[in-house]
Amino acid sequence: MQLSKTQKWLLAIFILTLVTRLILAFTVPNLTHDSYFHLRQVEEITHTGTPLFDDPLSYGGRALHYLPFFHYVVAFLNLFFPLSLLAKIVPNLLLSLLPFIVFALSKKISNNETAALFSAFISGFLPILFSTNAFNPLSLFLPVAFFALYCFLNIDKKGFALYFLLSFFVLTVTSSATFLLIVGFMIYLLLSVIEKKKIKKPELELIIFSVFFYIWIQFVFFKNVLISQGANFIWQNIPSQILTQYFPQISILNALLLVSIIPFIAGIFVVYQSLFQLRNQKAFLFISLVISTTLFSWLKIIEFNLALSFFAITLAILFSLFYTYLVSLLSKTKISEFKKHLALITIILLLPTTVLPSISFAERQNTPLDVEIEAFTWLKENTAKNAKIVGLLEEGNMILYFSQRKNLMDDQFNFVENSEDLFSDLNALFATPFETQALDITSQHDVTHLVLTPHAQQKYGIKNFRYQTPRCFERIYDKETKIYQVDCILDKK
Amino acid sequence: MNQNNNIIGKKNPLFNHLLQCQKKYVFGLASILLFLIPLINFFKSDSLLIGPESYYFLSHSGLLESLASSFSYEVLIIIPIVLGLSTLFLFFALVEKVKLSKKFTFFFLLLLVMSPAFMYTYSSLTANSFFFLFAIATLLLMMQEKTVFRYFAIVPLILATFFDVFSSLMLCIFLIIYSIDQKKKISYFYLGVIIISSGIQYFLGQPFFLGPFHIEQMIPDLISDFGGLSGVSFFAIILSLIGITITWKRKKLYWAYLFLPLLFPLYFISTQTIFPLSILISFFAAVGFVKLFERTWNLAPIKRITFFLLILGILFSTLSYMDRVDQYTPSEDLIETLTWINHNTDYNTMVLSDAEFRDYIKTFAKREAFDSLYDDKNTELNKKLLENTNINEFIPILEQNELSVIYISKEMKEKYDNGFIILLQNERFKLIHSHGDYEVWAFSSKEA
Repeated sequence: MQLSKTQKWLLAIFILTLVTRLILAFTVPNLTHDSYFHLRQVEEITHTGTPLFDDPLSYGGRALHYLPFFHYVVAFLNLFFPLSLLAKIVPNLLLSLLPFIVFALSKKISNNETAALFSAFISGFLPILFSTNAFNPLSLFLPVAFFALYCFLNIDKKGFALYFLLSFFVLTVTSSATFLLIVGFMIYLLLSVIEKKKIKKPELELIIFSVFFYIWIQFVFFKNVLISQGANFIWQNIPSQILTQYFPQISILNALLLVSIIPFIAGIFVVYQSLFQLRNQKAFLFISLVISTTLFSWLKIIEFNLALSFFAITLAILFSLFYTYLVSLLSKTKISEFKKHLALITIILLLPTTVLPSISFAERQNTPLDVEIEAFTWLKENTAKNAKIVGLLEEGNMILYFSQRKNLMDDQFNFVENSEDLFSDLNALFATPFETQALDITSQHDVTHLVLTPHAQQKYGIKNFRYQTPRCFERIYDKETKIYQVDCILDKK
Repeated sequence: MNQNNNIIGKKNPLFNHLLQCQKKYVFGLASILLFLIPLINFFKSDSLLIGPESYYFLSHSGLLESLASSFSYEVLIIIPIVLGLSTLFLFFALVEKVKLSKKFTFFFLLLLVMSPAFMYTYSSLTANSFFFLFAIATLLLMMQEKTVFRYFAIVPLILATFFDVFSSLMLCIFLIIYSIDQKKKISYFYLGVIIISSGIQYFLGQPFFLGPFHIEQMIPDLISDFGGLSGVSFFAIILSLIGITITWKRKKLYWAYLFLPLLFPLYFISTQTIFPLSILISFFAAVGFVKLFERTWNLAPIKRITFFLLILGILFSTLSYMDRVDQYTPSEDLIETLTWINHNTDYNTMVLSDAEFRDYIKTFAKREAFDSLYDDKNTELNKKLLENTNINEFIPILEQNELSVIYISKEMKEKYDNGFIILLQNERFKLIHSHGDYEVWAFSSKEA
């Protein structure tokens, strides 16, 4: 089979993206903190065949609800390959597929292969997507979401309705963030009605189906959470003290860096032009996605990372329209010969604004140190099975994964009745100078061990717990990470 | 194309059969659901009557109270069920009169009967269960040819105004719509009767809204899937939105829009309006449902799957509601502790507790509670007491208001953990009875 020039370029972008991602993934040690939650779920599915919906260790034992498709896929692969390898390869491979999908989408809306190639390149090197050591369902969600959009745009062609259904099914059982698409579809309908553009019948039918199917799946998986938490389910019961961590107030400059400056400016231009000048229906769907992502991000309904990732890919697609517009604009001017150099100038502009920030972003990922993992693994061998261990909030999943012991808290807040109080107590254990307060908390929650990692030392600016005395807090592990055994109990009465 | 029309079309023999015998099936479904709820409560709970509103009527109606004391208050569960089935029966008669389409009636009733709002209303003693029976009876009698029947309409009409001003207002709108839609002049006499009757009662102390009887929450009270006391399915809400956008263009259904500006704003004032609002939502949802599946779809298999999904979704909400319906009954511990108060305290004892326990205290303990959700005379003071941590402030207020018994539930212990609970260690408070998670504390005043 002879590959066309464009196909070769596209393949080159894919290989370049994948290789860069993998090099970074294997250079940066370990995985991001939240990855250990997903690794544990995959291991559970591999061993038992079912997700860990009733977790005996998290928060000392609790019901847990999540969408398990991604974990099932990796658990299946785990039958053939080791999990440690899959954890680094699978997410990076999946995200490296994005340039193919973005190329197809961009070509569909711009009819310009060069423009589509640029969009594909941008999507491969978006800084926000360069969490190369993150093992989470987002890596499956993003390519499948944009594949579903591609099928949606090609709904008239044979077979695409089925592909849409399959991809939409995968999305709904992978992440609740699928509602970004649903709301995007709604806004698309609204924009089309406002602009008096005809909506294709199959499009409307798929939208109706998607809405009902999505809601139904959410009800099936999260029935109890919905009943117990009501509409607060949307905010995932995140303690208010750390809500800003999940939904940070980001500056425009930071956003520009994370989604890359060129597609950002181009995207804004295309949105303005499509909505107010050209009324280009082809771009409506993507503009709707930009609106829905911005809206939910502003309402603090979706996590910052997810919102920005979705936003960045959409802008990368819209870049193709911008490039096409530039080409046609230059053709009409006296400097039309300049058109020949446009591709080269674009490459020169894109390289420092996408590739370099991406690599820098990947190198600055927040992953645990080897010495921390060593300490958590030590706990598994040297503590009683019913021990309850306190570490930082982000280390909660590591306690479960490496130590296989109960934790006081981790980042899965749903169904936890008093997450705010727990977070205050956890914080107090690291910050308080008073032994009685610390003992009161450890006694109240039956905590047996405290872990002070280099991350915790840096976060709280301490070398040891301020209240620590050998009488009540015996140091049983003394390396860069310190582990203390709680030997005193305050009378709970 | 065949597949397209088959779902709710004439070519589907099963659907045709359902449509022809809809009276039987809707009755059957309503009966099953309404009898299933007390049956579930019989096995899972300690009381058959659900909802705090039932206990409001039990403690306020002499007739119900005497019935309850003659038999058992559990026997009263038959009243709302009979009211529900009778209302359905009258509704079918009304439908025949106003010539609503069979298909629409079927889906409207299906959505309504399966809605938690319907199940709640007709499994508990509620004002709505009485009101709608009287309202439909009024309309039916007014439609009769014989003058004598039309005069008889006055009886249910007056009875329908006995609950609150809001119900009377709705009745007026029913009559106006009837007049416009059926192009029949209604006598000003009927409207006059409503205004005079509700006016008199308003001056006698009738509230604009009866209740509330539970702590109101806007979203869960509307969408049952979010854990509300009643409400409708989320699927029905979406279908109703589709229905609203469709009826926008159908002049014949414009009258339904009359209720939107009335019910929606009022819902935000009091979620007690949820049942009439649920009827309106079911109405629009049925319009949306019929329209959605009557149209020809390009993707016929998707149409079938969507139909199946919708039915499953609505069924899901119904079953999920039935699964937790026992949570809306008073527990055995609650009844035991309150009955203990009835047998072991003075008849004039005033009980301090959370406002939501008012009707349970009145029904089972036969004592007055200091505060209620629907009378804010003592609300501020009650709140001040329960959130108080200063004994020097707490005791004088108890003495001034002659509060000698404190009733504490499990929820109150958690809610007021940093409130009045810590003051109970004072020697003037004594735990006199407890059962399960419920406690009765006595406060001894200085004089004693």
